[in-house]
Amino acid sequence: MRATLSATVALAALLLGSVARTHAQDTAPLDAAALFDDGQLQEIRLVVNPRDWADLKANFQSNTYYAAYFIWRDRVVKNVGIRSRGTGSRSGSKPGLRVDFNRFDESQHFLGLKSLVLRNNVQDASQLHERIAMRLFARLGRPAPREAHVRLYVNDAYAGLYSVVEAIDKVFLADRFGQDGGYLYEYDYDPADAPYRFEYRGAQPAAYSPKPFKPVTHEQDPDARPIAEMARAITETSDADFQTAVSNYLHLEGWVAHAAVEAFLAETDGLLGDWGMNNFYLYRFQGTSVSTVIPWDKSEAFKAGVGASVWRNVDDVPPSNRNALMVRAMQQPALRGVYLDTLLWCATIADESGWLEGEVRRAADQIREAVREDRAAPFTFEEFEAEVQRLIDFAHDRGTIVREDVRRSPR
Amino acid sequence: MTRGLPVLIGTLLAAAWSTTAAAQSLRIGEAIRIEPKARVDVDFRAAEVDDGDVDVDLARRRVGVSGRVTRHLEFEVEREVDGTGRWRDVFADVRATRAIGVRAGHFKVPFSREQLTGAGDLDFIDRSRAADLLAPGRSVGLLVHGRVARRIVGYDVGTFVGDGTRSRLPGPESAEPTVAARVTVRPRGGPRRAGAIGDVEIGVAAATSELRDGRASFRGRLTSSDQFFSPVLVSGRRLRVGGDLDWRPGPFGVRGEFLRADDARQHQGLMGETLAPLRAQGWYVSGVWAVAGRSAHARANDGFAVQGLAGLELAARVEQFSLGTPGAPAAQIWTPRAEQLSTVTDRAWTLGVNWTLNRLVRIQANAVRERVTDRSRIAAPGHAVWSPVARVQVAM
Repeated sequence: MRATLSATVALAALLLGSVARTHAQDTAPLDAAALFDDGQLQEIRLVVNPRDWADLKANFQSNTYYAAYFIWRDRVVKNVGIRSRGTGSRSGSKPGLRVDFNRFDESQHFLGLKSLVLRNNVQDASQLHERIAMRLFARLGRPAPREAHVRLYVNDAYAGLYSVVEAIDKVFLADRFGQDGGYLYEYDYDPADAPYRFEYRGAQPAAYSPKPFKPVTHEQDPDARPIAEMARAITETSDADFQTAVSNYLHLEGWVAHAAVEAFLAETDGLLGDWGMNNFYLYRFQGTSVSTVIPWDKSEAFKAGVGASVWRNVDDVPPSNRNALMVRAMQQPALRGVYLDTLLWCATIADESGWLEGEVRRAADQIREAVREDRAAPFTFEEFEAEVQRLIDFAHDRGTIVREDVRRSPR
Repeated sequence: MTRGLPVLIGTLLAAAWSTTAAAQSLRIGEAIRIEPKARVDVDFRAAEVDDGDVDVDLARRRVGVSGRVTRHLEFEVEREVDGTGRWRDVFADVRATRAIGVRAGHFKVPFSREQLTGAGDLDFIDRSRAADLLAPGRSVGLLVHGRVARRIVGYDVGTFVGDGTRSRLPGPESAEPTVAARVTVRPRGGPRRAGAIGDVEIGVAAATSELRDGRASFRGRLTSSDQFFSPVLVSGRRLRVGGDLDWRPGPFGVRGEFLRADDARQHQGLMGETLAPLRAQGWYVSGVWAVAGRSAHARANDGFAVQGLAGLELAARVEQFSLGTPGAPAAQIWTPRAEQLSTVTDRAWTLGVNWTLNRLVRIQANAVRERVTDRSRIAAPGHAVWSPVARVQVAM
């Protein structure tokens, strides 16, 4: 009881101090860019009832929301909702978290954000895959979520090193596309599901949504007909009509460029993943039938190894394991050109003044002490250092290997 | 409606079975009598999806047995046969004199008049929100009861292992000891008799429970089961108080009840601080008119022969039920650990027709109009909702 009381007093002091500072500096010009600034190691504090935190960890497979206070710098956001999140990354010892600022109060925002993700990085010993991969997507102008590493404290105790990741929601859509009224779907892969690679499953929208395309907006009326029509166009149109027909439904060049970035990053769980498609959002622009793809969760990037072929899972697997869209797209010289050119562009960016290697080294230096103190991570510090070294080697050599692969590939 | 066919067939079979079984009260001499019991209630409600369809629901399926051994020992055993297999009443009642009896087992905690009224004797298909949501349920306990002071005053005082309401916590409810007492007064004493004063009964009740840490509070649900107030986390004392009046002079009857429950929220704040208690309270006033008179209705209710319209009743009820923290300002943000909770109120009117065909079959039809007033902005929209519902009861 005494321990509880002490904790309460300490937390109250922390909270009151933070609130006081908030009132004093409310006019400070902070925006979401500062929160996702990876130039420094961020620090986020959550105040949660200890029983709720224990419940969340014990029931980490559940999506139950708990009330919490969210504290960043001198800002305190009361009554946010937090819950366990993730698919393969769900953890009871270091739970991945979703923070919804508007869970209990629809009008509540923080720095213009409705929600964000605190990624636990438990599938990656370096805890760098996601951040480095998203940096490359952003360098290529792809609409990638912003993120930064963060020391997370729960009730004043260090809970581990996390990544604070911008949620893909209406706020993200408005920021990147200048609109948020379209249809946003999260590709929802469950390991128990049969892999999906854009095969045509028939004209019924229910064959495509809510699984695998889980509606994030327009949940009550997900209108997946354009997805069904896109799958039909991918499968049934002639080579001559393919690009025109599919372009009615998908920003094809963007999709191919996205696949190329993932190929450069030796991703094993993306558009051309080992278990079918995974880890992306699809956004259909409002008032149109055309969608674009948004990257998500790059914890499995770099895992195919520095020598992975750029045609991995394209032409080196049985036909039944090939992505229907990628197969057709690569038969189109223009799209094949986009794919190869994007790979070369990735190589150029990566090698430009050692940019990729520099990013790995800078990020590793930034988080090293936080990793050393992270008792909840499922990897040892030695495993962290070994994986960082592997990433440095990858960054150093990948451009050369990809350029040679592209050179050998017919246009 | 297509989904209702198997249900209706089951109901008819149950009716046939119960008709037969009804004649089979087992008597062993004068001392022992055993009566089988069965009940099937079939509800017809407007489907949640507004497609003109009707949901048919087997609201109750129960079997049991009751009886007595000599004048001093009564017993009852009843169980759900709906797949849950839950035991309902399992108790023995020893009555030494009219002034004192002792009941032990699993049975209703004495508190609300309406909650203590059996499903077959209710004037409406659904109990009032207050009685349904606030009154204790069944629990294992020991009860002392009787009538004293020339039978003017009746009393029930009991101690129970729980209050019979659901907790979100795993494990048995044994950690929530409950003490309940109910006192009723009949001004003329003795059994209830027709007449202005002879048929009135007034009751007051109180119950206190010790809630486990992190237990879910009362919730707010409409008659349709839609939730309008999500439970919060509570701990500490739950104190219920209530009062009621039942008056049935001649063909008309009036019943009213007020119930209140305060749930402590000790150490339930975000930082373990104690929060303002949650108060749930409600009342109802209802009237019923036996169209052909009380005696004709009683005949229909007692015999096997169908009595035509003799068993027809018209009923109406007005009620209110609210949850919140006393004195909380409007538009507080709801969380399970919110410091204060703005009051959310459900007001309802119910109009009903009850037709008792005979002692076995009763048909009820209700129209319920509900409106939720939500000061915290998180509940259902504030427009009024009409919910038609009908029930066929087959019981013995």
